Amino acid sequence: MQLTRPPLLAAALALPGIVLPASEAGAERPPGAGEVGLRYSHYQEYQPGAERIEVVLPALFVLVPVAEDWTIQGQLALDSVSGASPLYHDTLSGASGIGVDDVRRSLDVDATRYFDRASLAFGASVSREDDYDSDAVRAVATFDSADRNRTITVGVGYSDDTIDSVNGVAEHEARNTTDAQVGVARVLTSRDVAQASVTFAHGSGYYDDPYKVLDRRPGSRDERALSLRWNHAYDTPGEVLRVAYRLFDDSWGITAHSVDLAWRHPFANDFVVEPSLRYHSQSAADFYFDPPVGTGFVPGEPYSADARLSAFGAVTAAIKLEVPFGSRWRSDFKLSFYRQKSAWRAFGDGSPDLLPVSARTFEIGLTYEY
Amino acid sequence: MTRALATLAIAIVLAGCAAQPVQPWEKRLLAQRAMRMDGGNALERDFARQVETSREAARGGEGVGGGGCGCN
Amino acid sequence: MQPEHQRLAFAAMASRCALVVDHDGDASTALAAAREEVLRIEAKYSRYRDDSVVSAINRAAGGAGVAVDDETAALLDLAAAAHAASDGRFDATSGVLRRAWDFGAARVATTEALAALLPLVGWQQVEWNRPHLRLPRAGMELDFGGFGKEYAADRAAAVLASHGIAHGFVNLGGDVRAVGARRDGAPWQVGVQHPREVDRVLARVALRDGAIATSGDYERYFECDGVRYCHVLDARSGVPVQGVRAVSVVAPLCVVAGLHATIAMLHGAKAKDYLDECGCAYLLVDGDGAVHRTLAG
Repeated sequence: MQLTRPPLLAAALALPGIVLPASEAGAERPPGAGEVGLRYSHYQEYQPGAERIEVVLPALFVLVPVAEDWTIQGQLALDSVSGASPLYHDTLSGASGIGVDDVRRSLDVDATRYFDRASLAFGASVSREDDYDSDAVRAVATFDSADRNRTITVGVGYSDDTIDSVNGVAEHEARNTTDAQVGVARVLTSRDVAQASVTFAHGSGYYDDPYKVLDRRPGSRDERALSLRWNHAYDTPGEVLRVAYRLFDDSWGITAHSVDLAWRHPFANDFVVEPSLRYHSQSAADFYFDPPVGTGFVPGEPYSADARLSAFGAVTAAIKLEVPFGSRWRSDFKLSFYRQKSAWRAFGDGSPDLLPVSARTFEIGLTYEY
Repeated sequence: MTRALATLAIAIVLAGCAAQPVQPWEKRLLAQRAMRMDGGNALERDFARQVETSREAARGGEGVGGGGCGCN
Repeated sequence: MQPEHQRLAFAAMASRCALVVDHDGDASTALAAAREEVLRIEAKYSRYRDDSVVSAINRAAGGAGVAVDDETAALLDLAAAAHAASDGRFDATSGVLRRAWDFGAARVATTEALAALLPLVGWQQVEWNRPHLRLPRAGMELDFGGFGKEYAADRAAAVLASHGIAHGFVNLGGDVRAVGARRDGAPWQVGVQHPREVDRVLARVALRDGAIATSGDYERYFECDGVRYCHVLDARSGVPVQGVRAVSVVAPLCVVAGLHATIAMLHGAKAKDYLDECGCAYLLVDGDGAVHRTLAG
């Protein structure tokens, strides 16, 4: 008889408190310490011939561990938009000439209960604007396999939105959306984790843009998204490569591909530089019509000239610098550039006669862990 | 073609084909904040999503029940 | 060691102990907490202290037995697993054999003395039904000497990690548990002592995570009529093992490394077979001084 390694190791692993705390993490992280985050984000958009639009968004994040196995997480954001509303077609100039000067307040609260190999979270969001109110709820459960090398995530959400445009076109219009997500995350090796998830959303109600002269969209929208992520850790602690891809399609005829790449590289004094690159490409909605406005419009049929529904490609390039000070504080600065061009669409031609959009964001964040 | 690729990719993640299951003590690198699937910073992620959805038609793939906003 | 590392050296468990970390902030709180943890385990399981758990268990030998806490219970389960994995060679009740072997006086145990003591040795006699433990015969003794120090190294490493230490190691008298690699990702280099030449390093072993533990016939021994009697005793015969000079084992946990090293040692000339079979990464110096290794470095 030779009882060998497995029983010895199994008995050793049953000893209390000897596996390093960090090693107990599986595909998803169990509740850690509390955390407070502050972030100020600034967004500025340019388009030839149009006024610039500017958004400032201060936000607060709080994560509080409660009792042994609960966390409460809250998020408060206040975004102020100023400048003209976005004008995509130069031929549309003046058609949506209402100056935008809007403030949005949003609050998200999530409570999570952690079990030995599972978690259950309930959350709600409230968002208020002059012309758009949204209330949403969600429930998300995760289940870990016995060896914690696999985590299944299942979530459902519901959102109840009301639109009251300031120009009186939309008066107390409603839109309701139900969505669901199923995902699997897997530990592949001691340095690779991958996740696949699918989301389905079904919405019905008012989808038109009340500020556009001609905009009639279908009364419902079904969306599907498949997202794949792969995170790779290098030998140097903190050095991580993240790759993500999302495939999206909806009942409006839009198919989109988005690829995200981020490489986190720590330097000697623990400050971290993270360059990232994102590419997005989408086809146009079935009812999107190229300018000039009105071309292809048939009364009673859906119609939109909203450039967001057009075919184009977009690239985001960003650089983030993360500087820790002390063991609990961390600050970060992020600069990103966004550019959208019809010619950059992949797998097909972009919509003609669109002006390129450029945007620049600057973010500064501060996080405190306790 | 995209459908076939997507199916294949899901199959790889779902399949129980890992050569050797990773043991708890081998997960030090995986436990880093930067290795989290959500990226580790909720505020940063939400702002990026807001910028994207205000300019693009696609969304989803990252959780459910997010509040809508008039920006899209 | 490198000057930028913060370290704390102290004596515990009859060994020289060192905690070494590479950390940006002041690590003194973490180091002190890790030392406290080592001292806590020493106090709780020392057979030399009357107020220890082990002393309480041994005082109750032949009596009604005692109920033990969860930590002690897990250690007892480990003792049972080690007894099974070694086919009875390793036994947490073998400490009484020290009464026959006087290493200080270099006295070989007499057959009569061993015959009198061997009935008190044997894990199979122990009545262990968690949380109740009973040593059935008066005079039986339990001790955690075979894995207590290694367990303390694992616990101390976990304490350092829980204080945010990501680069460092714990060394309790040669039982080393790493808490992550060096800051630059390179492994720690652990020197393995030569079993015959005290000042010489036999080999270097790279350690990132996990642990290395060494068992050798040079720790405590005496020679008599040209035979070396070391302190590692086969619980089945009560006689010191022959045929192995030293074994170092690398394993994810220090307790596992330590037990495999000791059990390999207890296999004597068959140590290599045991190590190969258990799948350990090892460095073995056999009775003739030949080195066998699966460890790179």
